Amino acid sequence: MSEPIFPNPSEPLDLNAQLQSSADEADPTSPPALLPLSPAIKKVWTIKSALAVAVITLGVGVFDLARFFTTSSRTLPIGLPTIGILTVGSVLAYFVPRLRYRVWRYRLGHEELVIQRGLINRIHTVVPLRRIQHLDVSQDIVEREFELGKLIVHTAGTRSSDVVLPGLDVIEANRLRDLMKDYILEDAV
Amino acid sequence: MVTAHTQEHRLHPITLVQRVILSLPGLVILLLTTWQSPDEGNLASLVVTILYAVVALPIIYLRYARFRYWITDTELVIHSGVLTRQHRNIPLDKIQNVEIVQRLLPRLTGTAQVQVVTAGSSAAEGVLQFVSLEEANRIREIVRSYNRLENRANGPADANPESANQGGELPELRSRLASAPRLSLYAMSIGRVLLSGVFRFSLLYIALIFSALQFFQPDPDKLADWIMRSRFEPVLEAMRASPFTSAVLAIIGAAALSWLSGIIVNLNKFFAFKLWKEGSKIGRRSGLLTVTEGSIPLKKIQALVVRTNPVMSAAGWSSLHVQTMGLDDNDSGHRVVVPFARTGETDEIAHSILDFDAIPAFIHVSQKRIMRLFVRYTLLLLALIATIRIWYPSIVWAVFVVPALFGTAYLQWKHHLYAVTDQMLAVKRGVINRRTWMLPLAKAQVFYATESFFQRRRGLRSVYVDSAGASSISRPVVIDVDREVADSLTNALYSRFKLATRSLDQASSGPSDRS
Repeated sequence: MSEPIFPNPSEPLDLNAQLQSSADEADPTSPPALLPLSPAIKKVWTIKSALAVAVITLGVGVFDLARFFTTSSRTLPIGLPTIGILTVGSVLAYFVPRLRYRVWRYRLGHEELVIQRGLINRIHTVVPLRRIQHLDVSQDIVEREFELGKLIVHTAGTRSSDVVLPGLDVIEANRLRDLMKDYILEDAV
Repeated sequence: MVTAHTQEHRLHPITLVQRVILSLPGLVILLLTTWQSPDEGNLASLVVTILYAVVALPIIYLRYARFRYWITDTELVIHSGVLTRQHRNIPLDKIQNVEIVQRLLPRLTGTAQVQVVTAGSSAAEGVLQFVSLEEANRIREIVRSYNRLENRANGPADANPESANQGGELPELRSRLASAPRLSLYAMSIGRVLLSGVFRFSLLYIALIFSALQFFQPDPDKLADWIMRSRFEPVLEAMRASPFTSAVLAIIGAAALSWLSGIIVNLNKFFAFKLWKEGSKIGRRSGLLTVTEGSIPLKKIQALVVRTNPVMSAAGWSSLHVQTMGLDDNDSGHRVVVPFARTGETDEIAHSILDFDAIPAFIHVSQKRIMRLFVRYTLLLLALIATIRIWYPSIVWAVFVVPALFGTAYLQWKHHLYAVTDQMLAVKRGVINRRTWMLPLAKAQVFYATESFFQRRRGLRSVYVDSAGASSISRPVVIDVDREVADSLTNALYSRFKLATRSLDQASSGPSDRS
């Protein structure tokens, strides 16, 4: 009865084993296996993180430059904050999307959509299809470049009334939406 | 059946007088500045008064004159608006509830405000302000008899058996009888209302009074002088002499005042409180100056919440709230259905509202929660001390609070319990503000199992079942249960949800053939 809800509860941080376990042994009790997102989402997330790092670096850089022209205290050498932020940011922007990709899983079952996500806080979500209020497929400008889409599932719950499933091929996102559309009940709530 | 209703109606003419009276406070506020500095001359005051006469009064009249409503066979139609004309058609079958609200002024004139509430909107969609009380009852009866006819037309499979039994026959006759057969669930005596106020201790009203004083900014000396004609002077003298004692006395005074105001507020709110079951709805009515009557369809109830606090709990009292969605509610999805009752009575009423099996013994979450909370509180305290130490080095002595933190953590754990039955998830949380949620699994929306970084290191998880209209501040989360327990709990809750919703599908003729 107690089927583990995260793939390998004993070693949840061992990402390689996790990746293999979901690829090798599909859970017999729940026919469709947990699927990873489209690998292209790593690029999308990296581009977005890189943009954020660029903006922050620019801000810190301006601050650094301003310090160059003032005579105020210089506890840190000029340029070090900028270089530091840039280095740390670049490392994070490269690795975090890859790690996030490894923990993201989803499964469309007969009666529910199961989503697993979160690098630091891991969240396992079960959305019963009969609870869906409406469905959206959205694409932002970066996702459009890689032909990816987000599936947004709206329910009447309040914790997060919309459950977001990113990093799907647009075709797959539309297919999922059409599959789930039939479950929307007329008199929910 | 209702062609006689189709004639156009206007609001009660007394509305004009009431609206003029209600607009007077606005005029007073406009004139306030002129009154406070009369030496500026009365010109501004005169201009404001003329503007009021020229603009406000005609608007009040035009709004009244342009307001029409009527009820057709299928709809409530409201035409309103002076500059922007608004035509609103509310289908009778979409009307959830007709509320009749009587504030003090309308009660004196025998009129009432009718609020028509539909699903999918948090505010009342049709407001008739004001109509005569008979007219208000007539409107409500038309809507009710329409809903009964609907139920009957939909066939016994779809309708709630109870409402079909009680309201199926002779809706016309029933509509003439002002009160339908009601199963009384709870009524509050005046003694209980007063007692409930005793337990209601809130500093909010004090804050309100003080902010009102702030607005007028009276000079305390002058005020005392003015009231007491200097007889107050010895007291003021004593206050100046010993500021500490007077501060303590002021706090006690404020507490007593808020106690008293709590009693008065509850008396006004819950005077002659009645709760009843009527077919597939529960209704409640209460109030001293403002009488509010409303009903909640049982179908719309998402969860029940029993609330209490240590003092009330020790004396054996609690209150019951229902969590709804899509109704006009003032307190964020939660409505009081029992303001104050013996804990046993509250349970009984909860069972007669939702009809569920008795909840077995509650289970504690993992004891690791105590350590987790203790570590969290201690780290927070140390961080706080480290910060304050920069200015007040002697704050270091605050580390002696640490044992008390352990006590707090233990109490948090002690009062965090959960229970699962075939139909329900029940969760208890809170030491001071104690809540017990009773969530019918058939009403569940989304299931969550979460594991934070620190929980993962201790092999713990949290489980949460989201529901419609749940408060975003306090939620029935089961925090810190062992990993295996959390997994089986999540699976059990979801499979029971599937069973419960499937049996609902079988009970009604089909999941989606209703409009």
